[in-house]
Amino acid sequence: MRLGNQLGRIFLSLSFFVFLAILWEITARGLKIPTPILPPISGVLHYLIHFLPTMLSDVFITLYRALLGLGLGTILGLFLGFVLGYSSYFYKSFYPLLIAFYSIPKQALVPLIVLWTTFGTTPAIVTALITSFFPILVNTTTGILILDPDLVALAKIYGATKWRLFVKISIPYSMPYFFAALRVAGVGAIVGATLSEMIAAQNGVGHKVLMASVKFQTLELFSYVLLIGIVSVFLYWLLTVCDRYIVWWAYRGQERL
Amino acid sequence: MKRLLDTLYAFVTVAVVLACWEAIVRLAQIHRQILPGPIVIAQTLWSVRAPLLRHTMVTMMRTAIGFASGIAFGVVLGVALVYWSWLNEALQPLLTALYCLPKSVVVPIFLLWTGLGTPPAVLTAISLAFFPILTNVIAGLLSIHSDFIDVLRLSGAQKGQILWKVGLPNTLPYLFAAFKTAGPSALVGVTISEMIAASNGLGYVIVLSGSVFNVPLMFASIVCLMLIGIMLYGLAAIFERRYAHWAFRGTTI
Repeated sequence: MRLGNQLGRIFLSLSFFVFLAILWEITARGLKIPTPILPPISGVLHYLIHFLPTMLSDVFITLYRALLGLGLGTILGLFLGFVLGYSSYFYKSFYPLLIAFYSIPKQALVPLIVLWTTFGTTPAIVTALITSFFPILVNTTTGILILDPDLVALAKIYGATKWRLFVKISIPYSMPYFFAALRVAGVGAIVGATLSEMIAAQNGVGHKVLMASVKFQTLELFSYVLLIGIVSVFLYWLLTVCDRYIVWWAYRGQERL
Repeated sequence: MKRLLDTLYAFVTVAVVLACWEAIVRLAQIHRQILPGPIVIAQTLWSVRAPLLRHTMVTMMRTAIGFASGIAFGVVLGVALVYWSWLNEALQPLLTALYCLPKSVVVPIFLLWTGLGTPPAVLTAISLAFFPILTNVIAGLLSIHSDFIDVLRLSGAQKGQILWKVGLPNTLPYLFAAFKTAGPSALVGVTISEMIAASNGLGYVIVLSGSVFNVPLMFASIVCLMLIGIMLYGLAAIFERRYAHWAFRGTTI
């Protein structure tokens, strides 16, 4: 990719965002849509800048809950994924349970988690944990199970034991799948934390968004949505960078295209 | 024979887990408002079957509408983005941003604009179901074998004709594969929205039963949601095997 091309692309997408913002502003002001339904973006940005410190404190609360849940979910998902990938007995036995759990929208468990773990931070962390755990578990297991048979044959010819084969080949080759799931899980953790906050918390973005909506405070509502959107994009980007740098070898073929 | 054994494994595990669950609940005398056993849940399911079925139907209908609209939007936008590549470059960052935006915080906006019930649920379902369809349609259209394109170009085919005659059939397996993700995603969207902004549907029943400490009812509703989820996934898998089997010919031979 040539530099000029890349600059052109960035310019194109930036100008599209500006175009959307202008369109929003014109729609809101031109059609005289009342602020409780659609506030003009200038108003939202003004509100955002004015109340940024207070809003950021709520964003950090949510982020703390989401990231702690994501971290715990990742550790648990990786570990269980390795176990299921290593032992075909475990895989065969637990796969149907896994499918059953996978089919439940995890977000539906929030009221139950709230009943079990009281109010506020704990249910938010547990919800984030559960929403991020499943994609990681499924992808890690898949990554181990669809290993190239040629590689396995080669390792066996060299006399590798099952354990060595697992550590030296299966785990490294499952990492691209793991990191792909991690990006999805990052977004999922924020969804989980905010949803739990909507149902049972006195602070955090989820609580603030729902309250603002109920009170028709659209300036506050849109500012919070915009802010948590930016935070999510940043988290997603960060996890993508991790993916590219840590398992760079999985993308070797694509770079040349 | 091997398949039979695998199914047996699965049934045995599920039975063992359910039995352990029941045993723990009985032996430790856990109150049904904390954790009901499978038998209590089954009794609850049976005793409230009529209203529960009604709420299940509501959730299913919303999921179906959201799923179908998500497919429609995803396919149309996917084809448009491949056909006009400048549009793809302009929209890509916006689509990434929309993908990352937690859909839970968008529900209140939908609630504000469209009121309670079906509209916000369908909109949330679309916003979740749309992305797997879009990415897979684009991947399918872009993976056309370059020899095909060369042959068609040599015979004087237009870009639109190539997309229609080769792109679309080539995309079908990708599209059907995306159904397996998009269906459950639509269900997640409907559930989230119902928990926040509805007065019927399973998501609403779950939150309501939580607030009145009726945990057996909550578990019964979660079982209903699980059955919808399994059904959606199963239907998508069967559909894929029936209508895209020609795409997997190479792997079975």
